[in-house]
Amino acid sequence: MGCQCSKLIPCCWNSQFKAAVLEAPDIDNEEKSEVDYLPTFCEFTFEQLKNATSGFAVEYIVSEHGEKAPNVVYKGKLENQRRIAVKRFNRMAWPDARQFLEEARLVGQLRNQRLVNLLGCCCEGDERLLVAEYMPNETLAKHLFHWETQPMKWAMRLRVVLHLAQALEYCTSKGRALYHDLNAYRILFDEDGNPRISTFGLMKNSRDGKSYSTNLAFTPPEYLRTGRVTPESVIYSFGTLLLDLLSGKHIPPSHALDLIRDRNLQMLTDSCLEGQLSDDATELVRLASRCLQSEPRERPNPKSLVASLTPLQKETEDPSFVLMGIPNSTSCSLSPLGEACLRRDLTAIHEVLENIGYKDDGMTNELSFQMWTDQMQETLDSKKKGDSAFKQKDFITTIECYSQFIDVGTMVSPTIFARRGLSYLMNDMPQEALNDAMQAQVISPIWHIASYLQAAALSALGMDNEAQAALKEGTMLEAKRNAAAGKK
Amino acid sequence: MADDKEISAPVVDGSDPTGHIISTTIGGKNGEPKQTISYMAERVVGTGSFGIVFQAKCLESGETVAIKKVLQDRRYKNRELQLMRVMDHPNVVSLKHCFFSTTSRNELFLNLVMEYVPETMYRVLKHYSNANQRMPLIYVKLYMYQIFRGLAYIHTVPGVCHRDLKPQNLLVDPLTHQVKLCDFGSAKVLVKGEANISYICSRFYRAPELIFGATDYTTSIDIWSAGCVLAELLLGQPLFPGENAVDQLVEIIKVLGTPTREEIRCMNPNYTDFRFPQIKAHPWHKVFHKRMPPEAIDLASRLLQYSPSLRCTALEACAHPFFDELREPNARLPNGRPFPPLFNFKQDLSGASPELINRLIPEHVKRQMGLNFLHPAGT
Repeated sequence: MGCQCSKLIPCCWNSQFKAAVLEAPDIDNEEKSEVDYLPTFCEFTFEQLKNATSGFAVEYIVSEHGEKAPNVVYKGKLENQRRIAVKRFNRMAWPDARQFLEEARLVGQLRNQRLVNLLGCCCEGDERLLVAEYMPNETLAKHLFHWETQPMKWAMRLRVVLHLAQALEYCTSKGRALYHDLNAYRILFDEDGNPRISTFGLMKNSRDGKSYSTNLAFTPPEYLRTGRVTPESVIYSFGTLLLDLLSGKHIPPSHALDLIRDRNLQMLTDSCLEGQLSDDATELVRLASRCLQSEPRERPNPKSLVASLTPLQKETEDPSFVLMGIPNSTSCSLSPLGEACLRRDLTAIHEVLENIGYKDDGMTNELSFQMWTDQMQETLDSKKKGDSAFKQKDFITTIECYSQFIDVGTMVSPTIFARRGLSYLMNDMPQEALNDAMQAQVISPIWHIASYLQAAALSALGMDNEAQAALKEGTMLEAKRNAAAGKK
Repeated sequence: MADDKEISAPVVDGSDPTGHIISTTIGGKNGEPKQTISYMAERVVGTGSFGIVFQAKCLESGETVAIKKVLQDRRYKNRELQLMRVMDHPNVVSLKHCFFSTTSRNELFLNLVMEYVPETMYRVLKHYSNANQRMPLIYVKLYMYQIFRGLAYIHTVPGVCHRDLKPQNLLVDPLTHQVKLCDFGSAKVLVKGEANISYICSRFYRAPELIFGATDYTTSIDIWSAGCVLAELLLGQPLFPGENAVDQLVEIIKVLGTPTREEIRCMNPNYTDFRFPQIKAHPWHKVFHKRMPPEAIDLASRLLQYSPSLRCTALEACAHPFFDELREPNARLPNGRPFPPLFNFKQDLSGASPELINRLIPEHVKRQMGLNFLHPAGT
């Protein structure tokens, strides 16, 4: 397994890429090592991405407006367990395949902990897709504008703008200063609760190589004059993000500037920040008004943004997930089930599965009259036999009976896949167990047990890194599930 | 305004007054001579739940007037009449006179006699859309500026909120291009701390806080409505054409995006359970056609904000750069005739900052008036 890199790479090392490296020799070694865990950019086959997203299933869509949007982002999982985000462009977006590949390869060379790194792309026939790291903790828009449990703390807001400035500084240093449509939906939170900017925003088609359309609610003034976006336009958008973080609302930048000029900060600031602000807010306001200058040349560059924002940081000892109040795999200890999976204690897993029964399937096992046919009766009989064999730990019979149930295919049950998967493990058939655990997850994508079973199967297959990833995922899902149950 | 306190009660039957002559007497107090005024009702120009409005001619003076005739509850004073009596502004329709009339069924009607203005913004808009044209920008500026002047006056001097601003309630003189706010049937003096009903204002022009059921709203609901009118003049069609009350919010969200938690709190703090899919704001520059001046887009985006307190005041709107063309020394109507009066401010500037006043009155007008508003004589 592992990332299947097809026909790629040699052409990545073309003269253009070398030139980019030569122009930016100040590669920060520390930063570079921090993203060593990522594979290099590669091309995927359409088939791989189709499998990773269960055939681009609607349930896997993570972008807004569902399948009707021109470009749709799906979450998915590669065969090596790596969770990914897949952006599928509409057919019109990149008519020139070569241009798409070139752009993707260049953006794919970027590696930084402040970016949602681009892992690969796919360009087959009319299909144009990008593959990036998966960010499990939603967008800045969600945490800032549409929060559910707690508003974002001031210290965290300060951290978000610093990380964002660092991301822009990195992109600029690599010759990719033109970030498109920088807004609160482009910023995503990784599993540690750290904000990152999406690399999808670095990829945009342009007919003449200079002008780009923009979908920002508040457009930089030069765009209205010239129809062009420049690196300075990105700083303007950064300024609007500073306003978002200060105000928690959508305020026209020109209006915000008036309020700042009249020292009417009360009107501007988010009421959730009451009592948290001090002089640093004034500094941020000052920075925002510099970024929003109508004369592009008067706006600061990313380097000076980082310099201004670094001394403002607060509560730097606290990790982001603590400030954000989100569960984190390193913060929460393993649950009993996670523990059992780690030790590959199959008996303990069996006990848990037996206890929860079918309640996670979210469906009744009783069928309506219409479906009550002979075949149905047979299927239910095989399930009943399987259940009792599972209870008595007769795993060979369990596999047999559940297989009959699954093969008929009229009913889908993640629990049955999980139980058969465990039975396979008991019989030392880890590959079959893994397949079942994956099937369970396809049916029920946020079911923690499916991830845990994958972890157990993967570790039995000797794939320890992947097993760790699956265990982490199971822990996250279980923590989220418990948090949600606690709220109710 | 004529003294309208004297009341005679002519008996008029039927709902259609066309052709009727209504006579009433005014004066007679304090030794003034009594005077009879007769109106010949000519045609109905508007009907509604309130009653009817008809065009009439004063037989004595030959002057054309509009008479709004509403059923009068004998127990209460008529709020519209109370408000109309104190209004005095070039951009607000003026009350000339009023009288009561009764029918044979003993119903009491209040007749508000107002100056007659031949067109409404609604009809002007329709004229352009029928011709498949958009309103020339100079008229958009001229009309919107006068609407804001009228609002600035009613909001600050009598402290009234119109609560039903829409193209149908904006009168336009087709010759002078003077605009006047009319129909104060929903208007009210809003008192801080006192609750008001939220089921007011016509659907397309309703501010979102009203849809959220706010009862502590302010005159900024009129600013929202004016923003909707501005967008409509620029677009040639309503910006938020909701099919029903809920759909109205959907139309707003399509443009402004889903309101944020903070914005919902600003609109109605009691409304915390709002759940709506997260929709991104539509780019303002894509709401309007290409080559729309940035100032127009800027003004629209400042008026149409969820947070009521962030919407600018009517006077601030008047000072917006979008209207700078009107303040040019040689600015004229396209036919070369002068604009209607735009800078004859009086009490409507009370409370405005010197800086704002300075921006509102163009240099050439200041020179003409021999006044320097920033540095009054003697300082």
